[in-house]
Amino acid sequence: MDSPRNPPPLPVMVELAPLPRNQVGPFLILGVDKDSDRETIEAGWAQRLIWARRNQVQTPLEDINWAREMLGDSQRRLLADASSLNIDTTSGTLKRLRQELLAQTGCQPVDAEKPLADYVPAIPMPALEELRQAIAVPQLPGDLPAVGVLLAQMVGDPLDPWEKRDEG
Amino acid sequence: MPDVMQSPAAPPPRADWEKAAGLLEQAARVGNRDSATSYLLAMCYKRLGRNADARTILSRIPEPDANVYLQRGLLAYADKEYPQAEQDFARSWELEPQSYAAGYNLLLAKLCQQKRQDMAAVIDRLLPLVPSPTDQHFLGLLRALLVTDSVASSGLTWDMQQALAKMSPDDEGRIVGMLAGLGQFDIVRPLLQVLTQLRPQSASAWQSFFQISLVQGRELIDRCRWKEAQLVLDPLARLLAKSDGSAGKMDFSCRLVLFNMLGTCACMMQDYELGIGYFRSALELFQKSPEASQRSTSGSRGNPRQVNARGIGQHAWLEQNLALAYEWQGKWDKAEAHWNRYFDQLEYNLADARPGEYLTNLAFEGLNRLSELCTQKERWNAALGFLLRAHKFRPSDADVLERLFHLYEQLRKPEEARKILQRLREVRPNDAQVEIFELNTRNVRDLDDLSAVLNDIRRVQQKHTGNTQVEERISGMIVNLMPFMEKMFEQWTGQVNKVLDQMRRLPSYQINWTMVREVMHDLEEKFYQLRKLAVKTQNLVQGNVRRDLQRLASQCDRKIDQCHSLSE
Repeated sequence: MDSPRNPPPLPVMVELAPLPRNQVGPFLILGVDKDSDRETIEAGWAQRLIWARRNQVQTPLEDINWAREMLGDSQRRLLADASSLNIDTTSGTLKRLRQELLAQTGCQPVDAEKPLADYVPAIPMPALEELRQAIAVPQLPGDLPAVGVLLAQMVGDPLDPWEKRDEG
Repeated sequence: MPDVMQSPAAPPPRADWEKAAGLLEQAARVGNRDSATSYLLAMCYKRLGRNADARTILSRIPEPDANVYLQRGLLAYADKEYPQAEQDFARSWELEPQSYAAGYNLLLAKLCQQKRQDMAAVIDRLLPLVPSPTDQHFLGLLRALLVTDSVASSGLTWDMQQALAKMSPDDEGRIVGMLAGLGQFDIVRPLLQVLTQLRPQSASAWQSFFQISLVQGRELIDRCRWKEAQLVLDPLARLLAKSDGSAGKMDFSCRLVLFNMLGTCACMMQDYELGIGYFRSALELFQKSPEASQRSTSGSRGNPRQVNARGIGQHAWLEQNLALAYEWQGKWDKAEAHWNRYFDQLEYNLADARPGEYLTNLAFEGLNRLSELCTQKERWNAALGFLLRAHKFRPSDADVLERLFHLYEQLRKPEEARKILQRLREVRPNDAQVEIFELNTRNVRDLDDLSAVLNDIRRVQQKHTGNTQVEERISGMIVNLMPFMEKMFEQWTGQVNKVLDQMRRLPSYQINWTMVREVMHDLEEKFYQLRKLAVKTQNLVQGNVRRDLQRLASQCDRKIDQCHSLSE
């Protein structure tokens, strides 16, 4: 009979070490599909760097950089392709679902802006008449300077009485 | 001449937000501190996607009114800063209690933060402000859904439950659309789960719940959170196993994805047995699918649903998953079978590869890797099988030929090894190593063979003087020849001893001295040849091997003297 002072030993829980990065594979580490282009891989890498720095993922930075390097080299990428698990279907079901769900707009907040079409700035604007009256018009001289010169020239020329014809 | 009056009206001028923002910035620079000007500038920035600038401008408005708070909340919501958005919407609603927009947005901000209990109160306050009875009904249904965690929860009255259970497909579609559009899959999934429990026959609710669970699972897998992903996905597999109701009618490809994801999570948590179970389910599902049966009957290739953008078929991926899981589990026999099927599938789709050489290269790298692994585990036949398949893809690859040669040697298949060596000689015409490999294949049975091999070794060494790799290989070869030389020495020494023993036991008149002299002369000649070879070989090696050869030569000297004394 077991004595209450000596309870049976608790089972020892052994925590498994995380898998080596080769086994997880660069595609799963960067969260990209096997047919991803360079831009997608770079975006996945950048996103994971942010997550790693914020401690939002447990993947070490070293492994994230390793995954990017692996996928940057065509031969190593092929090797990784041949030794990595496949999550999605070849028709990209999961990718399509994600895109469709993220594109849904059934839950947009209501936007109501102030009606400011007739807005007038609160700055004092003078009336047009007042502005006109405020303008000082300069005094124009009553005589035209050219008139005197023309008259003097006309009077100075000798008159030819025969040149004058009766047009009537 | 066309009538001027009939000409079409000029289109209204398009809003030029850049220009408007520029003018408003100019107004602000010259001293305009009007809050309406700042508001207009912020709206311009909002439309230009400059949310941070818009938020800065709005935050500088002195004594902001309800609409300014509303806009600040909208911008915070767009930046996914839900606590700030909630605070701004709440302030806006406080300043303008009749604003439906402020109330509705507050509801969304709370929903995004999973504050489901607060939301009931918000909806109660919002209901009288709803513009139409339809919207009012919709919000009532949403409230019923939000107040409870599950059907068993006490928060859901019988009336509410009935209302949800009997709602129209349009209402259901609107609720599902709204929740799915929230983009917060971890929050929406439990709500849709409640909906599926209340409406077990609704295909739409099931489908949305299933799809959102898959996408949430993928997001968790993307962060390598395998256990959490498994917890999200596992209920789906159990629902499928029941195969009653709408869950059993889920799209084939969604079910395939589910099994793949669960298998991956299990393998990443090192539960390979469970992973293999899921991958096997996926494969069985695929084999029962119309696509697989269509392919098996018609043998059609290039079906767009069967191959991806690079030309890989679905069957290949499923076989690859199973093969990897078995490989990691250490069940090599099963892994080999699935790997071979995987490569069969790749070969089958070679014509669909994009780019053209992709599948060939993929198969080659995969086969090469497996061959190396099998070699490390001393599974020579399996290694040979994979390497021969790789050789088919690249018949002139020198590395593959060299490894094939070693494997044939390991498996003691000299004929095949020689054929491969011949091919290797064509690929690498002046390679010293190939010449050494050729020497390795020689069968040394007597002193003449040994002499010929040593002569060839010397020739190769002279041809490639200074090549350290060649010197190392030669040294290795001589180490391999040493046992043969020692064996010959022991054998002849045994013969000498036998003769001496007989001479000691027999009286002199019974000894055939002529025969003894002939035998001893013959043995002396053999020891002499062996000594000569040992001395010649000393120059080719260094260290312990050289010392062993010197010892052998001096032993031969003694035996030569012994034989000579008896042969006279």
